[in-house]
Amino acid sequence: MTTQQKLDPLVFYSRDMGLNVNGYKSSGTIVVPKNNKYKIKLNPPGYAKMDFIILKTCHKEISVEKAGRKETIWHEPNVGIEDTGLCMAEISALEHKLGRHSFANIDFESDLFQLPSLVKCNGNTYNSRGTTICQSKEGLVQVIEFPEEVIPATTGKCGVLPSVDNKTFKYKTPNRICSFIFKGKVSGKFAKLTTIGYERLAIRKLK
Amino acid sequence: MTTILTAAIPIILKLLQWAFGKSDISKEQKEAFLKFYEAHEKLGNQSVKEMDDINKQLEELKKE
Repeated sequence: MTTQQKLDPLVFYSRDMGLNVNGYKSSGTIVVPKNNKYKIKLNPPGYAKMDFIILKTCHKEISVEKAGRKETIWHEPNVGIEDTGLCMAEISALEHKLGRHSFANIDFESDLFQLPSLVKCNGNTYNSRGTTICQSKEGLVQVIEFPEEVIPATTGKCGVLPSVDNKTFKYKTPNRICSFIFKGKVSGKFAKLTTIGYERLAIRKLK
Repeated sequence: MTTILTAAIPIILKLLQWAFGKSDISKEQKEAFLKFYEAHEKLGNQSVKEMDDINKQLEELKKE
């Protein structure tokens, strides 16, 4: 029996893992307040069994085997490396029998990104304190609004998001994962927006 | 009675395994998982590359 069947490894699927991080709940992606320890509870959709879990950051890659249908992972950021605001965590949970793999991206608030914004993302509107993730199907229109004029970085691998007034950025979600950094013209504070543009919803055929 | 119990034990164990979701996977299956993971990972954020990209943008804006 093969385990790489149901999902195509060359397609970037929606992040849809059920998450509870230090009590904050979400599905697929989440930004959580800064802490020195994160209790990450995983609950994949479809009551899938997680046979193999991998958590990867800029610093470490840890795996858990035979995890079951729910699992808790502890993430203690290594000071100076993982707590800088530049080090997102990516989780992949793989299921052997039915191949209902599930993914998640977790970002952590930091002292570095303190410029707030109003985010209109995939049907939801919410306030961000400086660190934002917005996931949608690639190509869909999203908005991030800042309370002051900002300077967007131009050197990022995904280019610059469009804006007419440098306060409101209305953009089409780029393919896969992109990071955009902004600096408030008045406050000098920074904001980070991570866009996740998936190519296909992960639909897991049940038996 | 003993025969019934003996026959029931494997079924009960299977049910418990299903309920608590623990199962052994073979070395080949682990290899297949890793192959999938590595191929799929290349599509998403390769954390260090992402960090470098953000750092580059920050350096640019700090000069502003």
